[in-house]
Amino acid sequence: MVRYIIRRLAWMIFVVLGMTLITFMISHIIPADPAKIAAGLGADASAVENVRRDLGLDRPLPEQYIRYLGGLLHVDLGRSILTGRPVLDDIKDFFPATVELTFYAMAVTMFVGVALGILSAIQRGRWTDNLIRLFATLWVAMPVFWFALILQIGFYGNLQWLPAGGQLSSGIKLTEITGLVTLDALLTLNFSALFDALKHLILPVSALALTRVAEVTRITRSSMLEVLGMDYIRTARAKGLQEQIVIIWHALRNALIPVITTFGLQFGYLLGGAVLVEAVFQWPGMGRYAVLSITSVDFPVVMGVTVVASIVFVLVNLLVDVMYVLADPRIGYQ
Amino acid sequence: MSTETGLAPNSPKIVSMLSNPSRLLPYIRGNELAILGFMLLAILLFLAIFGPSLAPFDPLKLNFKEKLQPPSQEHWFGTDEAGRDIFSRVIYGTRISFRVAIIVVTMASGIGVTVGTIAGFYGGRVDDIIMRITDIFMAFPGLILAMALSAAVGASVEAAIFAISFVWWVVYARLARGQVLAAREEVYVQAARSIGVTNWRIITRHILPNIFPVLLVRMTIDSGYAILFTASLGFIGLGAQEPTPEWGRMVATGRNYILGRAYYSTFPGLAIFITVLAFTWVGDALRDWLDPRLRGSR
Repeated sequence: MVRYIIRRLAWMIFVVLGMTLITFMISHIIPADPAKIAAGLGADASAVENVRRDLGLDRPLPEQYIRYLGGLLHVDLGRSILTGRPVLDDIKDFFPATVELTFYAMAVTMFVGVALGILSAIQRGRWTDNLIRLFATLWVAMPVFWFALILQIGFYGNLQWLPAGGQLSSGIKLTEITGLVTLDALLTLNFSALFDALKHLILPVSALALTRVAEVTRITRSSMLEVLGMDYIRTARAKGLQEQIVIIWHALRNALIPVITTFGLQFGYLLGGAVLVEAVFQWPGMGRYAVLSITSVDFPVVMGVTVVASIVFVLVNLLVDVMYVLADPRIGYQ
Repeated sequence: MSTETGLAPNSPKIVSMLSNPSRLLPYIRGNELAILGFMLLAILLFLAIFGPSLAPFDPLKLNFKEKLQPPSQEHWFGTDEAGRDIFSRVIYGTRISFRVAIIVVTMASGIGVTVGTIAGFYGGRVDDIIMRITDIFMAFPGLILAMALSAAVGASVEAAIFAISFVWWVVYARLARGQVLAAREEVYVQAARSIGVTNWRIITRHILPNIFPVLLVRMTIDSGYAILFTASLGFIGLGAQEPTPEWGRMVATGRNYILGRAYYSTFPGLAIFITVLAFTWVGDALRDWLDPRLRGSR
């Protein structure tokens, strides 16, 4: 078990190293000359050359890569071309909002997805199953950004039930502890802020989660169906166990294993979706930050967000691998 | 019967598929979604090919006098901020989307299947190295990597195509590798080897035709997702630029005028949704037809 985790950690380091190679290569295919951009408009040739030497852009590529790697290890993600601020500082500001959004979206995805999947499996063939399956097919095809927009038009534009965007209404005071709004509100027992924050979360989380719910439902359903057909389930029923116990204690625990495996994959899609949803709902997270910098061609920011998001993704996958081994110890011995 | 010159003995599906397309019918007739999917896909394909001659208005013609009109008899989907007919633009968008989907899926599968087949067939060190490389690519969230690449190269349709292929080839590599690993152990491959068939021939004449069904299903469903991916990139400003009528871009532009004018963003988005559905339903039908056992290989 421990050996497995150590192996996974070593793999993670290797993968992250490989990722930095790719991000470095991507940073170097931009058609614009970074030295010219950094030197600013109107800088003459010698000034640009000075900047080029300062930034180390005249060194051979492998050396530049080492410098880049060194920078990353010191958590230096460069500076925003637009604001001049270190990208890292901006990301620190926006990171918690994205964490909050994706956390709730992931929770909804898993709980609702698994629940619907189980229901669909138990009710196989009946109208509930067919309805859920139809819903699942439809929702996988749904463009996240369009759905988010529709929700916004419907629940804010037409019904005025929910806010248009943002994390909190202006005028709500909240002391910041972790940066996670709902957590901070809970910790400071500020229930009006908590309620306000949750209201702001409903639409973005729904938009983000529902497309993933469909996927998880499908996986849970097929996994559940496979498990329910197994002999040990027949034995449990023959023993006279209550159906609920058979389903929850015996079937579900085993059926969930493929679902845990897909957790990492779904999280990856969720990160991508978060960029789109944050743009629609003006959610103050990394995604919106990235989209804004795309419009202003602030490339260091885009790369910074890419690096951070990818590292988070790798960490989550590592966590999933560990959970997977805890759920199915046989894996650890392979 | 020679395994050297003809297709392998157990590639019945592809042979019967090509020689007897009517065999597909029983699977479609009972499956309403499949019927709907095929019909939709036919309509969309028709629009992609002939749409430009059928569109009532020029999608690029500026006409500020008629800007931001709601849907009417003359403009079925209304007009945009430059007075262009949204319905015509959506139709033109079909051609753009199909073009992107075909190129992306072809590129991603071309590269991916080649690499995956090499990895699966030769195994050993080669397989290890290739798998490590795919691990690295898969460590990036898809949209995020494509976003970074598109932004680096400069936003355009070609950039989006390149970026999505760059992200997706690994999927096909993994898929092909898995299929080839299984096919490699089949008796007909051992038999072919034993009579001295070259590796190249084994791969091209025996293994590839057998893994083709699985790949075809995947490619069909992925065509829809390619359109979704492109639209997502278009929505955040990467991909097609104004005035090209790409669906994702149109939804994004429509946001600026959304209050009271929901139609602008709604129709392009609906087009994306319906197109992806069509490809998904057709892909599912293909999967059910080719081999019910394959349902797990999604």
